[in-house]
Amino acid sequence: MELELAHYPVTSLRLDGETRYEAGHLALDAAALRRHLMVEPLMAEIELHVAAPGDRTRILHVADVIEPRWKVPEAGSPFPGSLGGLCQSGGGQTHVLDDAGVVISAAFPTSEEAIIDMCGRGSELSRFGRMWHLVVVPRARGGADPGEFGLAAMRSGLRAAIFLAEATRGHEPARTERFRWDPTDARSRGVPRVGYLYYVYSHGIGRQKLYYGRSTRDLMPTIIHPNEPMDGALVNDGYSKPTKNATHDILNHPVIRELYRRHGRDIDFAGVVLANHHAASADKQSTAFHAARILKHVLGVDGVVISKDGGGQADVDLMLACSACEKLGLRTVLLAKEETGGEGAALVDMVPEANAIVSVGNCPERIRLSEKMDRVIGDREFLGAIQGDVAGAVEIPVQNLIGAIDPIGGSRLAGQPA
Amino acid sequence: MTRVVHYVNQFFAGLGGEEKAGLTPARADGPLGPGQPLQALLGEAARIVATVYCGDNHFGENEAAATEAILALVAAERPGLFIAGPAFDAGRYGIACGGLARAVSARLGIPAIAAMAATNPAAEAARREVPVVATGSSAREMGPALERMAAVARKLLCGEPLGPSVAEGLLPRGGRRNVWVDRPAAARALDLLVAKLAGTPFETEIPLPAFDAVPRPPGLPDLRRARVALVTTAGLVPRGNPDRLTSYLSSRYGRYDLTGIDDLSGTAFESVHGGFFTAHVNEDPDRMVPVDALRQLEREGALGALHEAFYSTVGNGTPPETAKRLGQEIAGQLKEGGVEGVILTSS
Repeated sequence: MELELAHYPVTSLRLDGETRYEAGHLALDAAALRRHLMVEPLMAEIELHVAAPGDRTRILHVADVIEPRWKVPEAGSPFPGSLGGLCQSGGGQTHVLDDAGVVISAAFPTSEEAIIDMCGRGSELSRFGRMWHLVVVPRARGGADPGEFGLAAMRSGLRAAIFLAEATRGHEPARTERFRWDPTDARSRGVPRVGYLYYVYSHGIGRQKLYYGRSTRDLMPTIIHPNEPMDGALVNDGYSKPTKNATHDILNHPVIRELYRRHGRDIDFAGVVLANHHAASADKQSTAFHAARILKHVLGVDGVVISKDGGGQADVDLMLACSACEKLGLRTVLLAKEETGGEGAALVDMVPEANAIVSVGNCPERIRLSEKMDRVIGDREFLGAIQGDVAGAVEIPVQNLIGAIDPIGGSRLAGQPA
Repeated sequence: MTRVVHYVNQFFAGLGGEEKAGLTPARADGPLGPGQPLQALLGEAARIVATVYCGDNHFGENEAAATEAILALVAAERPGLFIAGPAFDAGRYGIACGGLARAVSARLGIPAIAAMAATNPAAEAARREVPVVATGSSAREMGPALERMAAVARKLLCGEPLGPSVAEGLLPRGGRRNVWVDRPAAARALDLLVAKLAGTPFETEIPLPAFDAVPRPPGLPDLRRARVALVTTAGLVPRGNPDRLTSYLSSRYGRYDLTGIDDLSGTAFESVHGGFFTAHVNEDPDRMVPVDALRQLEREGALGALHEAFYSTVGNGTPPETAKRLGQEIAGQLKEGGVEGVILTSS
């Protein structure tokens, strides 16, 4: 199967007049977009804002960031199952708006604060602070179930993402990228076979990734095509949990891209196994066992990259999987975000086999965002433990700056001994 | 120009080896021994106004008194910076350098650095409290050691914050620190995996820590006479969260009275945990902290007594050190309250 990503850069975004894409300039018909989004019965109202790189703007309560994507209608939905019916993702051509995002800003019970700063230190540390965003702020009708409203908000974000990218219909892309991977490909000779064990957050409604629109909560480890996450098969149904991956991260999957880049050079990319973070210990052990079994005996890999989507309980999965793989003779490398207070305990669980871990950053370390903002989108106060003037200088744990820490390895932030 | 005091032992002061190891603390004007090349590296920004020295044996055998004497000599120079060593792998000299740098920093409030090898027995105690420049194991590596010491000294003199230990050439100071590195984590992961598969040397970015193993305690001899407490990491608190427990990275716990409560109500209690779907607990908090069931056992006589309060924290991303402290504090209070058994519930 081959996926062609047709890239359309965005150099400006505005909400006026008719919807039009011209040489990087994207204009949106705000009234038409609003009508397009106001189809969810649980939605009382929806605000739309534009945030530009360099703006003195802060976005609060970020539940997700979605890269605008469009496919010709005959090819089916760019987010199959999550919006629209089932169809194969990962093949054919998909239009992509580069340097752009649809941000869903909404707070749910027990949300953690997730911030995007469009200028200053925050925009240096998170790639989301350097993009053009359409910010969608949905408001629920009274009495709406938070989980159901969260799903409605997610669908609104996906609808908006498609609406934006559809503006490029009929335009020539600035560049294209092709990702081709076939299970019947001849093995590259003389290089090790490497697989990817991809754990996703999956604790039910509002706290999970959807695979073709279905909850991953009860997933068994499943072999997936590497193109599927990069083409909308995997979507974040997330309350704002800033250190869980956003849909935008998944669509640009850094580990899968790196495996593709090195495929046939120093590794033979043998495939991707999708697994979830179960809640119960027995289920975690079962998942690690089956994932290792598939990687060893079905995909026949020599080495595995393992990533997690969360902290605490997710560390247990990471270690169980590492141990299960190494016991079968597979060499492992783990991607881990750290939560370190004192010394030497970056993760809540460790096994002796975990001798090769890459840090994606230390979550609780505090950073100072010192810019004075002219505009705050989303709310008038921070959620949770963050105190201070929403428009002013504030000190926050780096994990609350969404995008600074990327569990699937897209960020250059790394924890080191102090 | 900042005034600097440099500390060396009798050998590096040029006074002799073991036979002079009993020398008492003394001072000399300007730099001595390694202080001379160090002064050249420090340049115009700083001047070594005095060298304080002491015999290694004297310091080791009279540590408290020698420290007092040396602190007095240092204070009299009114320096802006104190530099001790490099001691390389020399144990007695390392103890003097590390101890003096800590004392000058803590008691005189003067910035201080020490220098020694990671394997020096004094390194462990010093490296968390003062910047300790990492050196080779012997004086053959004097040159690079002095260069790193001068670089760290210059930063301190300018009031510049020190970067991560690896970048500064320091021994790890404890804890972790975020650094912006050259390559994204995904690329580094593949580099590491390819090296590991090829059998070439590789280095983990997160070393293995040691974890405590908790042995299973013996059961209570007679539950009918036992006082049992409920403790939860699921963040159950009275509505309104009076102690402001945070939903993530909690560093606190709350103690909540159960006197006269037979059944926890969702109108009186809620979970503020940020890591699980709390709706079912908020509907009936007994699902997490089973007061109703224990009261029932109490009435039936199967349980001696339910403790008068339950303890709650949020176990969500809590670093193990913090979790350990919270656990010890809660356990201490329970012990004082005569509690013999605990039912610990988590989300």
